[in-house]
Amino acid sequence: MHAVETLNLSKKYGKTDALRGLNFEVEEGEIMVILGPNGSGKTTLLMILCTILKPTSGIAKVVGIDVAKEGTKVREVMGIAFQEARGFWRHKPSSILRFHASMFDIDPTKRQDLIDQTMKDLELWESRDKLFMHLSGGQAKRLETAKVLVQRPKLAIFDEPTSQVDLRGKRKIWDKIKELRNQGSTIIVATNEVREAEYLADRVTILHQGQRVVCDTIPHLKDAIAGGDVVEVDFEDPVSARLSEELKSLGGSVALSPQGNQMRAMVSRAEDWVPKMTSASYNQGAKISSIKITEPSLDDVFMQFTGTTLEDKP
Amino acid sequence: MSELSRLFHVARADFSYFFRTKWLMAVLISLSVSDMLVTALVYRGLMNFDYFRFLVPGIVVAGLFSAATDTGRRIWLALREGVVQYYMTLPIRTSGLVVAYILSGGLGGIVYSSFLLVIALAVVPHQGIVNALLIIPFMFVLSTGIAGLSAFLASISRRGEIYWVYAQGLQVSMVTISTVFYPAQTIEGFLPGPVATIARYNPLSLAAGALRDSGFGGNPLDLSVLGTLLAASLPLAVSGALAYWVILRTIRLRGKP
Amino acid sequence: MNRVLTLAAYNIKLLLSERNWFFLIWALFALQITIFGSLMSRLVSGKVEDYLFFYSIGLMVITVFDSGASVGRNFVEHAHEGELPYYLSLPISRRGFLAAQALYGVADTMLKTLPPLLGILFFMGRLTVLGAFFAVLALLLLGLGISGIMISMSFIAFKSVDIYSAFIAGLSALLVRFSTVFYPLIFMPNFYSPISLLSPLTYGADLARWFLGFDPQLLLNPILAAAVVTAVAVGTLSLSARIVDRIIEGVKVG
Repeated sequence: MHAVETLNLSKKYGKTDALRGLNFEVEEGEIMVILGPNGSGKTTLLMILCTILKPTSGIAKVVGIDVAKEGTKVREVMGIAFQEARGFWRHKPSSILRFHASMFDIDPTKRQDLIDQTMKDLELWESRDKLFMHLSGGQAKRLETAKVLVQRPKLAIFDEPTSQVDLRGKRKIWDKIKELRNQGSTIIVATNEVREAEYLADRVTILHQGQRVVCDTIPHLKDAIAGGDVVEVDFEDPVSARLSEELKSLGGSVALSPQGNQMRAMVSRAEDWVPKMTSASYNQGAKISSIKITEPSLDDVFMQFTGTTLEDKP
Repeated sequence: MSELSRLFHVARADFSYFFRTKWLMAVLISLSVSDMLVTALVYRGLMNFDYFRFLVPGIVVAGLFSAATDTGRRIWLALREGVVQYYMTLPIRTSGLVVAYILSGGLGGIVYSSFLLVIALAVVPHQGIVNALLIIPFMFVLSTGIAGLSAFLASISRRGEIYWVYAQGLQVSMVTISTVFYPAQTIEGFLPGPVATIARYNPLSLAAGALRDSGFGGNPLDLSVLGTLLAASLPLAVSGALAYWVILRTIRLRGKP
Repeated sequence: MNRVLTLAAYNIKLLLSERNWFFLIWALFALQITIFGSLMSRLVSGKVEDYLFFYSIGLMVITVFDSGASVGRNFVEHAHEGELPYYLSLPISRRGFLAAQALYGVADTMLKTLPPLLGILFFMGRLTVLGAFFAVLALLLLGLGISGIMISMSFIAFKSVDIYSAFIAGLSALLVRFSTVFYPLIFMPNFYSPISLLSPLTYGADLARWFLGFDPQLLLNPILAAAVVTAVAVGTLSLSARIVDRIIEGVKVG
C-alpha cells in the first residue's frame, strides 16, 4: 500500500484547471519533494490531501483512506505545516502547540517536554512568551513546522517550510524533517527552492501546470537529461553567428547569453565535447577566458522537462 | 480522544480567544459597567420611575448580546487569517467544528453576562436570586442563538466591512427594538403595532423581562416566557450553524468562502 | 505648503472612496434618533423639555468624538503597519504632516456630521445659518481636541497596540458616560458632576447646544465652554506635535 496515492485527480476553480488528471504516489517512509513554480498545483494537491479541498474528480488516498469520503480519519493520521502560518493570534506558541498536541492525543505525560524540546530545537524558546500575532514571519513559520513535529503524524506535509526563514533556520528545519522521517513518518515537501529539494528529497515529483511531468530520485533525474554534464564557457568577446552555429552542431544543447560572450552547454560527455569546442573556437579566432564543468542542477532538470525555469510563471 | 472531547477543545480555544482580546474586553466592560453605574443612575433622576432598577437587568442582557455577537467577528477573522483552514485539518467533523463555534459563542455570552449579573445583584435590591440562577441556562440558549445569528452574518459577509454593517444592523434591530432600554408600554404607545409586537417577542426583551420580574422582582418564574425564549433562540442557533457549515463546505469545494 | 495639501488631498480622496460608509453612518444616526431618542424623550419629558433635540445634539457630539478618535487610531495603525515611516520620509515638515492629518480629520468630521446636523435642525425647525455655523465650529474644535488626545496617547501604542486600543476604549466609554452628552449637568448626582467637568465632551456638547438655542438654564456657561474647547484643541495638538517629533523618531521624552 502506498502512503499516498492519487488517480486521475483533478481540481477546477471555476474555469481554471489547478490539477489535471494527476497520478502520484508516495511510498511509506520516504521524503517526496514536489517541485514546481508558483501556480503549478502544488498547494492545491496538498490541500486535497489534507482534506481542506475536495477534488473535482479522481481519487486521492492517504494510507489507503479516501480523502473525499473519510476526511476525519485522514486528518487523524496526517499533519500539515501551511505555506502561510495559521495560528491563534492571541495565543502564545506553547499554548498553540499544547492545543495541537491535545487534539492529536499526544501522551499528556510527555506532552510538555516534547513541546519544550521542539521549541528549543527550532529556536522558538526565546519567543515562548510572545503572542502569535507578535512573532516575526520566520518565527511563525517555524511554529508551523513545530506543530507537525510535535504531532509526529504518519503523513507529514510541509508546504514551502523554509520560506521567510533565515539560512541557519532553514538547515535546522531540514534536519528536523529528516529526523521525523527517520522516526517513521512519510513526508511530502512542496517547494520551489532547488537547494531545499536537493537537501531533502528521496524522490522528486515535478509538477507543471497541474500535471506530473516526472518523478524519480535526483541522481536518476540528472542522468536523464541530455548527457549529464554542464559546461559553462566565458569568451573574451561575443562569439560570431558562424561559431555559434558550429558549436551547436557539436551536439548537446547549447545556449548563449544575451551579450553573446557566455555559453552554457548540456552535453553527454564533457571530456569529448570540450576539445572539439576549443578547437572550433581557435579556428574561428574566438578567445576563451574560462571553462567550468559541473553537474546539472535540479533547475536544469526542471528546464529539461518543462521548457521553463522554476522562477518563471507557468 | 473522542469526537466530543475534540469539540470541547476547539470550543475552549475559541472561547479563550474571546477573553484574550484585551481591547474588546475593555470596550465591553467599560460600556456595560458605565451604563449600569452611570447612565442608569443619572437617568433615574430624569424619570418618574426607578429607571436604575429597570435598566440594570437590561444591561445584563445587552452585555450577553454584545459578547455573543463577537462570535461572528471571530469567525470572520478565522476566515480571513486562515485559522479556519487549520481547524479543517484537525481530526474533527465539519459539523463538530460548527457546533464548537456556536457553543463557545454561547459560553462567551453567558460567562460575560454572568459577570454583569453579579454586579447587578450587588447594586440593585433583589428578591429572587435563585430565580436569577435558574434563568441562566435559558440565557445560555439565547446566547447560542445570538452567536448563531452572528455566525450567519459572518458567513454571508464577503468583506469585514460588510460584516460590520450587518452587525450594526443587528444591534439596532435587536437591542433598540426591545424592552432592554424602555418599558413595553412606552414602545406600544409610540411605535407601530407590528414593531411593538416584534419588540415584545424579541428574545432579548423576554430575557430582560424574566430577569426583572423573577430575578430581581421575586415573582415566580413564568414558564411560558422561558418557553418562548427557547423557541425564539433555538432557530437562530440552528440557522447560524447551518450557514457556517455551508461556508466550510464551500471552502472545501472552491478553496475560498 | 503644496505638499501638505497634496498629502491631505490624497487622504481625503481615500476617505471619499468609502462614501457608502457615510450613508450607513447617517442611516444609523437617523434610526438611533427615530427609535431610541424618541422613546427616551417620552420617558424624560417631565424633566427636560425638548429632550429629543438635546439627545440629537449629544449623538452628534458622539459622532464627532468617534471621528476624532478614528484619526488617532489611523495614526497608530499607520505606525503599526509601517506606513508612518514612509510618511515621515516625505519631504514635508513634521508640523506639515500634522497639518495634513488635521485637514483629513476636519474633512472626516464634516462629512460625518454636517448632513445629519442640517437634517436635524431642518426637521426640528431650528435651522439658522449663524447657529449652524457656530455649532459646526464648536464641533470641529472639539473634534480637533479629541484627535489631539488620541494622538498624544499613541505613545502607549509603541509599547502595545492592544493596550492602546483597550485604554482608548475604556477612556472613550468614560468620557462619554461622564459627560453631558446624554443628560444635562444639573441632573447628575453630586458625586458624578465634578467628574463630568473633566470630560471635554461636556463643554463641546453644551457649547454646540447653546449656539443652537437650547435652554441656557440646563447648560454650562458658553464662554467657559468655548475657552475649554479651544484650550483642549490647542493644547493637545501641540502635545501631539511634540509626540510626533520626539517619540516616533526614537528620541525619548525627558
